[in-house]
Amino acid sequence: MTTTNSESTTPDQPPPRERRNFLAEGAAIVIGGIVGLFPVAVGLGVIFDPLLRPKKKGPGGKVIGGGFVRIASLDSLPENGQPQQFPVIADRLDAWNYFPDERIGSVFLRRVGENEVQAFNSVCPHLGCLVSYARGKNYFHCPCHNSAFQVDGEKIEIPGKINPSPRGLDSLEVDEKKLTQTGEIWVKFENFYTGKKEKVVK
Amino acid sequence: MMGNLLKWLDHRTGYQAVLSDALYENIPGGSRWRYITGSMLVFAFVTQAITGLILWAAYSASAQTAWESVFYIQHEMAFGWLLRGVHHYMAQSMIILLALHMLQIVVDGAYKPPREFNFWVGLVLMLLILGLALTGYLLPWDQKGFWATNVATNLASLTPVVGDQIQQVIVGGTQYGNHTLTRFFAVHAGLLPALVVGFLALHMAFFRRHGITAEPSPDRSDQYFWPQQVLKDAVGCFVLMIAVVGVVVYTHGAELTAPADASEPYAAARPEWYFLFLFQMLKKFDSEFIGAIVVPGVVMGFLFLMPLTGRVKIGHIVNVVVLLVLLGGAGYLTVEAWNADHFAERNVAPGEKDFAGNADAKSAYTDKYEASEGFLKAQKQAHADYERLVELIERKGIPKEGAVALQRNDPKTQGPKLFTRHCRSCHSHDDGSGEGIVAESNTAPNLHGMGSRAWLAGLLDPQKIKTDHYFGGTALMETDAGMMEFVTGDLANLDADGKDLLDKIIVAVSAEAKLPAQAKQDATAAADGALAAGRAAFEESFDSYACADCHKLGDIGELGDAPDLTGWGSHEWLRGMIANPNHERFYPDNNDRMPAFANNADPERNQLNDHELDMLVRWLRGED
Repeated sequence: MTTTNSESTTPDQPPPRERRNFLAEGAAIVIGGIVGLFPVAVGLGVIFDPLLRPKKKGPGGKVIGGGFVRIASLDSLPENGQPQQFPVIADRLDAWNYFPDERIGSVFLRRVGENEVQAFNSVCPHLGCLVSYARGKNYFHCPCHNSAFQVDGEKIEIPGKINPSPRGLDSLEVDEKKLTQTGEIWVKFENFYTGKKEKVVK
Repeated sequence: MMGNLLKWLDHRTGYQAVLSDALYENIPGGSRWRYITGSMLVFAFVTQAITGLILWAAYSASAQTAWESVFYIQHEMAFGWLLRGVHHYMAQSMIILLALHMLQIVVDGAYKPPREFNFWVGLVLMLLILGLALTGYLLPWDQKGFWATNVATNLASLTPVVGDQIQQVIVGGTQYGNHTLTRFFAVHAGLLPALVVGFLALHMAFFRRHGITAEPSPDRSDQYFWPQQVLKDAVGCFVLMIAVVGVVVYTHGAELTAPADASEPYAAARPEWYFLFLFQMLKKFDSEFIGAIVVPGVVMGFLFLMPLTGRVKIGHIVNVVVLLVLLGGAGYLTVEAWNADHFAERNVAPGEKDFAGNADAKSAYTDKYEASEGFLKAQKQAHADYERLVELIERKGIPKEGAVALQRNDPKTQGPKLFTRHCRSCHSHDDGSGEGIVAESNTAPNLHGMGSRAWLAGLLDPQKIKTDHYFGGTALMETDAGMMEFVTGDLANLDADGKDLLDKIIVAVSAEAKLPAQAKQDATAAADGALAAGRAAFEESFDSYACADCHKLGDIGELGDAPDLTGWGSHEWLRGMIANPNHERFYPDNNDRMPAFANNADPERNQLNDHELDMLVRWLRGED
């Protein structure tokens, strides 16, 4: 595809190679590299923002999440120890939106004594679906991959039967003082990473 | 003239060389139908890119607007359902085409040297396409996509050491929200398509470098790409287009379920069918690390090594066999997952099956049946919730808080949930159709239709008052006095006059409820004097008592031994009763066991807050 047309601007022969100039080569690589990485580098902060800014602050610097939340009063729980599910209503921060008093999750509460309540996060520790309580059989079941838990939250282990959950349901701390003094159930609502043997707070 | 023009154009652009290079590629052994999958994939990808770009022009990635904008595309925009449907089903067709394309490449040995790099690029493209499928599933921000994707991103935390951090970067925080959507959208619409375009260019460049893999055959002469192979490719793409449009028209577009709600469990959360085999595999292992990381990792590793092991004949045979087994296995797991979810549709209830005394078999069968029942019920509920939401949106529009707000403030959606949580331990709400809510133990009346004439007539029926439907499970059964005595005694053997009297009372008392469903009948009764007659009858004695001896009704009778029937079953009456049944209007001395749900001055301490109480009562009364 050579052409003799005078309009052609394609040089037919490359210019002869110059003597190597290490300084120029090195500088070109370094400066070119910096310039090449610049567009990504400038965005790294935003990409890794979730790791760099872990504490969520609401209006007025209020820390969101992790505190005790009022769930229900003790007399709303049946005395026979059957678990009941309740929504958790608390402030929520979703990036640029602030939601006061929103449903942020749900818990199972269960009366285990005169003034004693067990609380579980409804999130399945396997992969994060929400478990439900099977009344007839008195156990918790996850509709996604069939994890199963006893009514006290322990993982059910039957030989020959697969229970993919790595741990029992995640129990949540109940404020005992408030419970005895006011009959109100306050729970420290936290979410945990799924798929791990141990509980790690998100 | 034309010839000169083209010549001039070619001189300036060199288009003829490019064109002949593209069209006059030699195909040893001639064109074949089996070569069409690559072109079809390109066609499908281009369709996705263009339909995706147009969808983008109507989509808004935030937790309050994503579902809403997709809903708007689906239901309001001209042919929006068609556009979204084509994007949805073309994506699914790409998965099938990927499998066929890979099968053809491996069976024909087109992955063998010197084409290793092209095969690897192809595998990367496959992963990118699967990534597009995964990220796209979340964007409508509906319950289905939300919960299924939640499982997928939770799997990311299984990565050793930095798993939690990876998950946070993907999700844009620890919880799903606005930033999950913005990130998924950027990856789905920006990063991955750009990578696909890049790798696709590489894929085609490598393909052109080494040419098509075919043995020249004495029976079949070589052909150029143009026109025979181009025609076959075009027909393949055309058939694909017709098939996708056909499915879209038949299904009326892609499904959209209710808007995502992190506090609302969705028992029917499943990945799209092409990931169902992965989902099913997670049920097979005690550790999801094996099911989600090890097994897929080994499979991908095997695929990447195929060009190297395929150098020898036995290696190639192993590759073909393993690939077929993998595809077959994935197919098998997909069917198994589907069957597990639909088990209850295709099998009899455990109660009707004979297990010949084998308790283990029975328990296994029951587990399977109930798990499937839960899935099907959740799926049905999700459809019903969605239909209801469409109705609400048509009536009220979508508020700026998003469609979830409509659902959370809708008595018809929330009523059954509140009833199940707070009332179901004693009360049923069941019309006998099998769809209603059945009490754990019927220790209180069935509240379905409470306030209506039929409900009241049943209560006043000597045959029915002692059943579970009314007072059968209550402490009233233990007394032979009061209402029990009156109904089973006075009302047991009524003559025609007595029956007439009773009917009049029923009409008048039931009218107190002002039920929306009975509004017409109540208005007629008010107009033709039946209400006045009923109120008069309230004071007339049967054998021993008149209603007014114990009950108050407006200005008739006095507050005393029995509940005030003024406004009985009305919104205000029910609110009062649920808030505090021990109030003097209701059961000050003889409340069986009903708790006061909202009797505290501090609303924080009430079991039902004002809004919940309102929704529960509206639902009980069938108000819309």
